[in-house]
Amino acid sequence: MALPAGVIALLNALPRDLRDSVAGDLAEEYGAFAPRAGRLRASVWIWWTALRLVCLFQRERLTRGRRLPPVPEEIRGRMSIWDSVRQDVVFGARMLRRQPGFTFVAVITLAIGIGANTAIFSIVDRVLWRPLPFQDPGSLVVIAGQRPRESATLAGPVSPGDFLDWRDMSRTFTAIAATSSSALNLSGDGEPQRVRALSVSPGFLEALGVAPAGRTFRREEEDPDRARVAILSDALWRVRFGADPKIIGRTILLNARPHEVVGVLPRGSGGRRIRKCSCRWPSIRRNASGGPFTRFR
Amino acid sequence: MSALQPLGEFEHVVLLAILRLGDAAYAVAIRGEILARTGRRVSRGSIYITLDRLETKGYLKSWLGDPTPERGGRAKRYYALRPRAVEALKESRRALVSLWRGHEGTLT
Repeated sequence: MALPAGVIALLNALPRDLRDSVAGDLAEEYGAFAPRAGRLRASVWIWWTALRLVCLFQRERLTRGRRLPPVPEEIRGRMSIWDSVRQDVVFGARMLRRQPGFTFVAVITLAIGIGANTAIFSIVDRVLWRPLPFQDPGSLVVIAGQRPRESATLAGPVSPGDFLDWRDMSRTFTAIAATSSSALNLSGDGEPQRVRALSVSPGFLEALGVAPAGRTFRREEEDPDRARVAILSDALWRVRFGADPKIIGRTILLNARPHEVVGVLPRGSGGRRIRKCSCRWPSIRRNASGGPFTRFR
Repeated sequence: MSALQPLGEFEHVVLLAILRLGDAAYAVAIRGEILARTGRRVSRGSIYITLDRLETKGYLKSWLGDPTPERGGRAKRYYALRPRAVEALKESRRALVSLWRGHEGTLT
């Protein structure tokens, strides 16, 4: 005999794996009881029995923390892998809902883990995996000097004399350029500002394949008698000079010395690690005596 | 699987009823068997909860039979003893027999 719809709805509060078989048992007993006791008594009986069962299972759930019984062999055989995955996901979600404290700690742990992984990946991606933002980065090398008497492995700066000789005589490299990093005071236009700079020899940008807006440094600008020249990074041009389209040709003060701005580097081509850095690209100059010594300014 | 736990008295009764019923052991029949053999009218809830606990402990396995019209198209859940349940019954019996030994005349 079919159970009343309300009783079936009430039995939905039973554990899912037992719900159907318990409802079947009650239907069987209800079918046997109703002809003997009459419909009214049978109705009262079935409602009362179902309610007691539900209350008993709820109490059991609260006091014992009912675990799910093992999946029977014949059901396990019929389950596809997706049934199993779905069951695990639903079970996991229920457990998380039942234990909000544990859920909170788990979510925080996951958030910290994912955040740390993302940060590390971003650094590794930028520093190690992505190619340098220059043309043909695989053929770029850094030349360093070595003093065997002091250290067999320690690499240091190259002397200016060696650089000039190598640049003039080398047939191995397409181009050789010298660089030296420094910090300069940028003043004369608003608040003075300490900026990071890189002094380079002419040909440096061409070796990297970077074409600035304006022009690059010229070989004759190595001459110490010529005016000092500078190329700004894109970041400095935007932040300090408000992306002034007439910046080329203007004179700025670096360490209180006037420099003519001859170009602006394209975005992402250098000086991108620090937003407010600038790159100054003055020439390498021979000293006044014309001797083998050079200095970067 | 956890170590063998001592059986409660009602668990003992339920396991023996299942053993007696063989392949026909489902909740209604187990309750009827206990009533017929011991005269105890146990509640349905006690039967379901005990079966559930015994299954969780690994003493029972269960499976669904075929749906029948008199059950509203629902299947019976049959139960059978796992080997560890037989071991637990043997251990329980051994303990009771050992305690009884020498006092059969006193308490009958």
